[in-house]
Amino acid sequence: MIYEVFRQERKGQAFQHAGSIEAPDEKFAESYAREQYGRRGESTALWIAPREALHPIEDFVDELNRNYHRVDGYPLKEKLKEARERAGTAKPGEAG
Amino acid sequence: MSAPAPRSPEKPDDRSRAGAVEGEGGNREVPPLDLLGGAEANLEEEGGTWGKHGFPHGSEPKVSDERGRLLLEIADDELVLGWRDSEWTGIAPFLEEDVAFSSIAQNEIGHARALYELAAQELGTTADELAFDRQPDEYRCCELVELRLPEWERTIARHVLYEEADEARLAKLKESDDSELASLAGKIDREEVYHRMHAQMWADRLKDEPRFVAALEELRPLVDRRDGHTPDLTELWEQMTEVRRSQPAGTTW
Amino acid sequence: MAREDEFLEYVQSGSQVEVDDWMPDEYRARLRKFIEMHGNSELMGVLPEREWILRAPTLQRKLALTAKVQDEVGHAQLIYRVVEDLGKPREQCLEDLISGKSKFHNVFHYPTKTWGDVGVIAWLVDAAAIISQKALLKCSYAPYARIMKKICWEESFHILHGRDVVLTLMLGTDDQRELVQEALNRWWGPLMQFHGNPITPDEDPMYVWRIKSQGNDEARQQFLDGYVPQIWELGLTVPDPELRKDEETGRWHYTEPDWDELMNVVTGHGPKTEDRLDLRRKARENSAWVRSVLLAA
Repeated sequence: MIYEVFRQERKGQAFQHAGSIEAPDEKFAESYAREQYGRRGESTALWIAPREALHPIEDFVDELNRNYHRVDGYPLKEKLKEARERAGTAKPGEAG
Repeated sequence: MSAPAPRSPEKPDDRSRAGAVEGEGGNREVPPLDLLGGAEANLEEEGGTWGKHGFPHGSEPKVSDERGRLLLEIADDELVLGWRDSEWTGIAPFLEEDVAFSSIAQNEIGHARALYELAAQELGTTADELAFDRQPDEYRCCELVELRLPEWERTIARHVLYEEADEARLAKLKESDDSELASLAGKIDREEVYHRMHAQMWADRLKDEPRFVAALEELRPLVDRRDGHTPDLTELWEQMTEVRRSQPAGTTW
Repeated sequence: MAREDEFLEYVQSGSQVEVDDWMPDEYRARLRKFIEMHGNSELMGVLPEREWILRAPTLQRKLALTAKVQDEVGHAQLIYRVVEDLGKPREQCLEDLISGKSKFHNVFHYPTKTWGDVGVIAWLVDAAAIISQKALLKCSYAPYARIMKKICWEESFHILHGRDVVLTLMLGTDDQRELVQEALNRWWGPLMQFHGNPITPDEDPMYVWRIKSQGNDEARQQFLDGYVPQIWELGLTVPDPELRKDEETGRWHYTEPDWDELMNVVTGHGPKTEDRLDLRRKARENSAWVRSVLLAA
């Protein structure tokens, strides 16, 4: 069976996918993951999971440009310039 | 330039190179005695065949004291077992197991080193000298660890039996009044947790396998048998000390 | 054809693909073969060094050498996993290796005769290998690029260990110094052949598809630039009277390696090829029962 291994390099960091190992069961997988991904003290912690337990999701759809909930949906430069002019607080170089 | 014919391993090269270890058949046999310093190597005088090496006669570490004896016993067990276990590095039944078992072998050598270092302080020598420069019959390891076991079922059977016996031994040592020894025993014990896990894992898998059961039966009587050594130890020692013996004692490698 | 052109542009611009992405058949086939050869090489590279694990002359060297060989087995594991995810099972790879159907790098077909070899191999062969491996860090196939990162990180101590062994010998007895020179004399030829024949990058499919990011000659020049000065500064001689650096162009000149010998060796006719494949075959046969017990869930 193939097991995927995730490792945390230092406490507080996110677990990242490190690789995969082949093992007959969970006990062996634990033993092997420890050695392959931790024998040099390069990880503080590991997670292992059988490959079938993981489900890839890769198709993200955004046909109609949903920028209302993103920062790039809010270009405020022009409006700000106008508002400053109206209030008489236009910055030098902004007039016109 | 024409392609040279592949070199025949049968053709002996100049044998007088230090550390050259091809025997007559091109195999890793014991090098001919003349490699090791000519007539000296054949001397039957006191100090033995390898008189040039090892401790000058009469100054061997006095291991009659309890502590020194005990340290060497455990250290020699771990050294020889580690050496045997390291024979699997590169050729274990499959890759993941190869990596895991190699760590176990390295840990065992590491334990031996720590124990030799403790003994060395007391005996006025170095860990390497204790590990390599004694005669085979001066080692205090049990017969179980000496055997060359090229079959996986016998290697695992030994692993299981040794871990069991060693756990009991370490438990006693951790209670020792000797604080240095107790502390080192504690450290070693914590590393051995992984070894025990690994041994148990395999024992569970192989418990119904006839050859494994047979191996356990075969090897169990050898646990803690320390009344002599097998020819396997001499063979191992010769291999282990080959390079070292090719140069005078005290040479740095 | 258009899709393949797009793919070519995509990888040549530095982008990467994952295991389930579309790839041209030719790319996939070449990629898998290349990676498989790498795995084979790690596995075969273990055998020459293994003999010395059992003969290491100090506890430190014993530990270091065992750890080094362990790393190489670990690398084989990482690499064969990648090949398996590309469609070729590990068992099939191992069978093809043992039967001689697939190849492994030239250097692992030669004997190791002395402790001097141990130092020279760990220092210079690993150095040559690291140069190739660094060039794979940017491989267009992402899973391979990722394992190369782990591999390069683990290799870093191998070279230091090798150099330490060599330096210790060079500071030792005359016999010990001679061990190094003699080993270097034997290994120089295979080292010069290691990076492959002088095919230009544009003619090298591995480079075109950005599986490798470096041509063979460039790798060799990098090796010479980095390591010849290190060799010379110890008072060692390189057994090539033509070897010199052209200070104007910055390029090293050397006697053209024997490319016939290289071809002959990698097609299975090296001095130790048979012996080593035989050892692998026997080890595999003896442990076949273990694998079947473990697979019977």
